Amino acid sequence: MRRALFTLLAALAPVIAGAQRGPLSDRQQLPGDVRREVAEKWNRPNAVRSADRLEIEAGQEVTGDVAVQRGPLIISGHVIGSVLAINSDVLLRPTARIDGNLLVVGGEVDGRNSAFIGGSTRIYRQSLVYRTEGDQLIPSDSGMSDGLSWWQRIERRREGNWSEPLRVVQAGPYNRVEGLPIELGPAIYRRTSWGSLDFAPAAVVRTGASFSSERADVGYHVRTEIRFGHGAGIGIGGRLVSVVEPIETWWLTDLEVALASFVARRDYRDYFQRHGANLFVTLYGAGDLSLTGSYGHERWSSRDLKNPFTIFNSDRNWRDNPLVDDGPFHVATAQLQFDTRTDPEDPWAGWFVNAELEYGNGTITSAAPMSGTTPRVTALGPTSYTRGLFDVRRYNRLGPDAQLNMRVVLGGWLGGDPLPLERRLSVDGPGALPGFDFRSARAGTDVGTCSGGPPVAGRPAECERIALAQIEYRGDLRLKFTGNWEGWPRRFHSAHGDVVWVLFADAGRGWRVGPPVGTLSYPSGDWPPLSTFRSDIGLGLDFAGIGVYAAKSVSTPAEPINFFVRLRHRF
Amino acid sequence: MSVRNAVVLAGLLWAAPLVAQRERVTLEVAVNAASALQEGPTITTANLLADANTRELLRNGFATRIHFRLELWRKGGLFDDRSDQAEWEILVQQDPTTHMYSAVRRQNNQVTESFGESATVTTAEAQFDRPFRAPVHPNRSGRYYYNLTVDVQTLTETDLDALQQWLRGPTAPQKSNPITAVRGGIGRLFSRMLGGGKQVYQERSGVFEVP
Repeated sequence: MRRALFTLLAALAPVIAGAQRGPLSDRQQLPGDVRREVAEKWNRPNAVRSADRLEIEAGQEVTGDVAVQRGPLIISGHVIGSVLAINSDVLLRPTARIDGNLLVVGGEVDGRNSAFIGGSTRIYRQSLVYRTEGDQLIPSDSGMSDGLSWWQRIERRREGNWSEPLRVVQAGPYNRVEGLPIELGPAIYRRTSWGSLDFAPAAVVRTGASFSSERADVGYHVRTEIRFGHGAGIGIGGRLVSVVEPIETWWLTDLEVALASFVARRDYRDYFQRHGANLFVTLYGAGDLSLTGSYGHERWSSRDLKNPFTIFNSDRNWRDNPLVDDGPFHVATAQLQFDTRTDPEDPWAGWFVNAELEYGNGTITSAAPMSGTTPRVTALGPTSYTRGLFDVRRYNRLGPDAQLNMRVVLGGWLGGDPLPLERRLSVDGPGALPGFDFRSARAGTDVGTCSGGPPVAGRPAECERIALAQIEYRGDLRLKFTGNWEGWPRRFHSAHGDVVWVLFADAGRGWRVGPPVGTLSYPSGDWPPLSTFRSDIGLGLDFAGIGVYAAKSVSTPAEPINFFVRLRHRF
Repeated sequence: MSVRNAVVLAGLLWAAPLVAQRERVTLEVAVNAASALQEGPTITTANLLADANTRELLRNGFATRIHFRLELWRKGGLFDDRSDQAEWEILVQQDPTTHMYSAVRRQNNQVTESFGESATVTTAEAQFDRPFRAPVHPNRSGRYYYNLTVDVQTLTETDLDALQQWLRGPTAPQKSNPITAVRGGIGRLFSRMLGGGKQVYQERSGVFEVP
């Protein structure tokens, strides 16, 4: 009935509307490029051209293009070519077949979900205003702007040159040595025929340290990059920095660290000061692969603990920020990333590989205290080291509602002198082994932080090597309870359901490299016995991206159950 | 993070969305198993622009982008494989001079459908809510299912815009309960902190077999 009504209306349309429809003033204009394209297609030779109702019946075959004005156009047969309909509705019967493209302006298309269209389908509801001279169609430009359509303007705004006289952005997560770091400065981006150029000099203001009357602690971050190529190519750039850098970032996201600090006065990272310059080269746009290399000269130093505001636990002391090995260093790094995940924020399947290699050469001018005296304690004077970090993850979809994910992290010393304290690692806390409380006091050797005696202030990471394996099963419960709630932070809830249950297990440890000392240190060619690894299991519920978990240590049964919240997938 | 703090944080996050309820967003992925080898599924949506904040921003001249990603998954012996995917988007904007809403569908950076003008957001959405045949389908036998992800985002919503929106309140001219307004603000603030400004929805088809 609906289709019959549509056909009747379509048949009457030219009688009612005449050649052209309604006044121009109350209609949106067709973009200029579309007007020109339509005229060019109409004016060129077509197999069938009609200024009235046209029907291609079932079994009929038209070899070449079909063009219709006013119409309607009804297709039941086969068009071996493209179809153009100007100010005309198009009705496609289920038997209709168009091998080429379908372009409709000033009309509707009915039946396209059941008919076959080999090429593209483009439909513009806006009518074409035109006149004819002989058999030529000439689009009317009177009163028409030939500028960009509104969506083209949006695209241009997103892709073209831009600059901001004062850009204010967060420079890092809220933390206990800076408060909230904020970058303030201009930013310029220029797109050229050969690539692009961006330049962003900024001052770094710290809410916890920059407004002290004794010593205004303001940093800077000046970054510039020239990219050769659009979409893919090579980027060359440089940075001048005086910033605070976290020592380990691989286990928790910035957002989680910031919220834990701001809300609960618990900072899961340690920090040091980087002051210097570096140059970098990056290959970008190469599908799933990216490669970056850098070389720089920097001075590394310790940062003092501040006392920034927190919502809860303001009566408690912050954990000390450990001292690091101070001194100037030349650092060369290479980073390779391979990412085939279906969605980086919420993957269902794919690989993620991050491999980092770092060579450092410098002089330690002030050595930080470490727990214990042997083995592999850093000393004053020249030093050089090589360090690597390999993070490999595999995401597997077991079915529409289930997923099995695995991760292995290996990192640490590869050669040279002992690693400076700010380049050491640990396997501790909710991002790595959540069954063990972060930086808590334990009897005996701590294979999480590699503390080799009475711990020093802040319990720094002292491991020269770490190994960690994680596995988790995720199952959607197919409950939909946030779909009609406004304001729900659904950003991370994409490919998974509203409620997901998670079962997980982790095992890992860290160690120092050197002469064997108990379970703390092993020669460079040796691997610690698996019986010395920490392990835990856990269970959790992920509510639209916010996970609430419980983890229990297996290797140390005396450890109590830990409860924790994650704002992203565990990995 | 201690249990007490976790509970408090969870409570805050939990309270935020209780602000208001709206018409439920619905997505449908309909597959005709008999012709699944030749044609993609039919996608039907409803109420994607029903969110009051999105409508308010549209009325104030901010364009809205609705991005669709349809993945075709093939069931394997142990693990499933993503065998294909298609993406397209709908852009919606109000013309500030005529106060009419315009919408276009884009695929591969090309406009494939321009829906013309509509007097209201509802009639604009009605244009693109109609069934749409997605351009992805299996090309060999096996057991398959589709996974559709739709995100709705206000294009030019910077943090400053969001802050002004938050300070101004949900809908200034109307009377509103101050507690509701504060909770709504907290909800949006948390949403921003957690990377919001983007509403994400998903739907899956059932598993179907291609002989």
